[in-house]
Amino acid sequence: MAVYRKKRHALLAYLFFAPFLVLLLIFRLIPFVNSIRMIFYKWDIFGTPRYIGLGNFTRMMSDKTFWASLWHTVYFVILTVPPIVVLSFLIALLINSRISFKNFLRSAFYLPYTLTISVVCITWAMLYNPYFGMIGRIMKFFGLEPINWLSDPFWAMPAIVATTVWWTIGFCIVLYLAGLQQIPTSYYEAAELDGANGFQRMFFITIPLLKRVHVLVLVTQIIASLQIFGQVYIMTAGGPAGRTRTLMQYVYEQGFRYFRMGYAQAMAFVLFLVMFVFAYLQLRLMIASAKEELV
Amino acid sequence: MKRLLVVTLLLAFGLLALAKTTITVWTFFSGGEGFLVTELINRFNAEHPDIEVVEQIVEWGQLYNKLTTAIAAGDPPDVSVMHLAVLPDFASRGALTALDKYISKATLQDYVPEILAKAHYDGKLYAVPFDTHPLVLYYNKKLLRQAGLVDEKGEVLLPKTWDELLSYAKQAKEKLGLEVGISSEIGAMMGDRLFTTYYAQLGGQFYDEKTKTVKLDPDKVKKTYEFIRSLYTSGIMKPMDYPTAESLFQNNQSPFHFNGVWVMALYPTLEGLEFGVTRLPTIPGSKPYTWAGSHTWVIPKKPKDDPAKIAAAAKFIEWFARNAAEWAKAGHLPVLKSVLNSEAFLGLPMRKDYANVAEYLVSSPNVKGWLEVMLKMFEIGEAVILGKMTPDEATKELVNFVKQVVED
Repeated sequence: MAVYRKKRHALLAYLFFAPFLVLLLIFRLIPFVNSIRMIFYKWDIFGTPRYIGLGNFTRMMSDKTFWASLWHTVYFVILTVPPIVVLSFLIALLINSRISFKNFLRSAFYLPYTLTISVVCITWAMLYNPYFGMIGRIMKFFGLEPINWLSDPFWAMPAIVATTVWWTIGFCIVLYLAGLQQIPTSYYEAAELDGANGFQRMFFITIPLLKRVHVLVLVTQIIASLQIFGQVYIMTAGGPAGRTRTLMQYVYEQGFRYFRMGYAQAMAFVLFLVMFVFAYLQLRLMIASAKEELV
Repeated sequence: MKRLLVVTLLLAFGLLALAKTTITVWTFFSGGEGFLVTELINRFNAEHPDIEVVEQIVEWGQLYNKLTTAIAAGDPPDVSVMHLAVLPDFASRGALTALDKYISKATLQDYVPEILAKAHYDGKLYAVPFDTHPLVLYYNKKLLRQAGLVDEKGEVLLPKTWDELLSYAKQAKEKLGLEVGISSEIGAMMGDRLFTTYYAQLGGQFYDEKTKTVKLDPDKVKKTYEFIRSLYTSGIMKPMDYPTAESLFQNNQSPFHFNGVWVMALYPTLEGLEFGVTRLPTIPGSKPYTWAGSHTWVIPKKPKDDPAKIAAAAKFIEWFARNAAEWAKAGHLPVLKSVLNSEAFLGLPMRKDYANVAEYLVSSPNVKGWLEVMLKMFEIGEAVILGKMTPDEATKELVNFVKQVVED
């Protein structure tokens, strides 16, 4: 009887899963398998794919633009992730402390995250305009020469980074806030009784107990930043002079503009491997910290 | 009796509805251009009760992606707009319907020959061009007058040569304390359009029609890059994007402006902007060769041809080309000689000031993969302008890249 019930439960579980599984299969798994197959082919979308072995990878090796795009992607991650992690943590601390306008601040920091990418990018591109934009006007007011942010080979990437941080930080703040609220206040009270100062409370209680949140924020931000596309596509189209072309942008160009689907998929596969490493790392760290907590 | 009448009426309507062929058309036109296309389509529908053309607007930057995937999926629109420069990429892959049997001889003979030749690939007609849009020089009359750039009669001086343009631009910029002497976007406008213009005026060629080979003249490429670089090192121009270049000109902060004729739908409506338009300057002794793009209609290939639909679609696109004087209100030049010389076209304001370049237009060569070269030209142009590449390096990069793409 019990076995029968268990079986029925399992069946029911799969039934509830089914709609999601079917969609996952059709829109994720089958395309994924197909795209992996395609990395060994030359395919222009319209014609029949032609098997070329590792041809796409040898092409990649000698393709300067591929390497430049990969570097720009890594550069973007390096510039974006640390400020997001540090700032979101600090802002979460601020909101979690005993200050007024708490709710207002929480909404204000989260608001940008609810905007669509095009709205964010077009608005920021206007702010960055050296002749008419607000940032340029402020610089002029202080007697500085306005910088042509998005048309400058050096400043274009930092400008995109600033936009990205502003846009996505709200999500990480929420994660940190949730983490902070899980730390029992009794720990702080006990520490205070033992004479621990604010600095010690921060470094021996808050930061270590947020370990899982740190890992979560860090890894998800690295993975998200590796896939940067929209901001670049809208704000600079990879320019000036290709200085902000990221790997996703290049994949898009090769696949959809230049009809090299196989090559594009091969490059996307490389990006997938990089992201896989980080995702695996996250999993290991999460499991490790979960075990730690059980002990 | 009554019932019979109803049945007959229903049948009659049903037959009418059956007889009506619906044609879906993808366009990427917005603003002034968008209104004109919609108006023309409505007129076509009113004049042709048996055909219903339905316009579907796709975002400019997305049209080719969507078209590519739609063709691959076997469900493309009946008609799509397509730039002439992109045609070889689609035609060479069997993605388009050959139109030779569908377009009348009379129309074909009426075409500006150069444009019609480019609408072919491998000897077959794949597109029906309905305009060309050259790069032109816009000038701000108010600013030039303030800078004293006028003749005895008080008419604004128009630069005939590049040297004249540079000296006028410099004079106006310095005298009036302006941001720039000429405003222009750095990517497409300088890297491809101005590059192509100056290079062609130097006598440079991209493609040899006879031997069907790509032909770049490294010396002339280098000279062109040197010229472009000098525009920026002299301080006459500054690197900027398209909206900035437009805003500076529209807000009386730049005496000159490089842009295509497509802005002619908008600029005349702007209050406080007193402007003129003229063809680009020339190198002394050269013909006024000028870059031009071209919009065309194509009929994407479907898994199974429907001759009735193709015929109806062809009827629409030929009609559109013949009625392009209306479309020319957006600033474009017609490509049919009869329209180009018509009162309807020449009567439009300021068209006479630039219609004379029609004979000297230089468009992208009819080569598969040229789109990739074009976008590389934007990038190399930017690198030269920003001082990230010397004209020498840029020349090598371009020549190598062209070779690589064409051989791929």
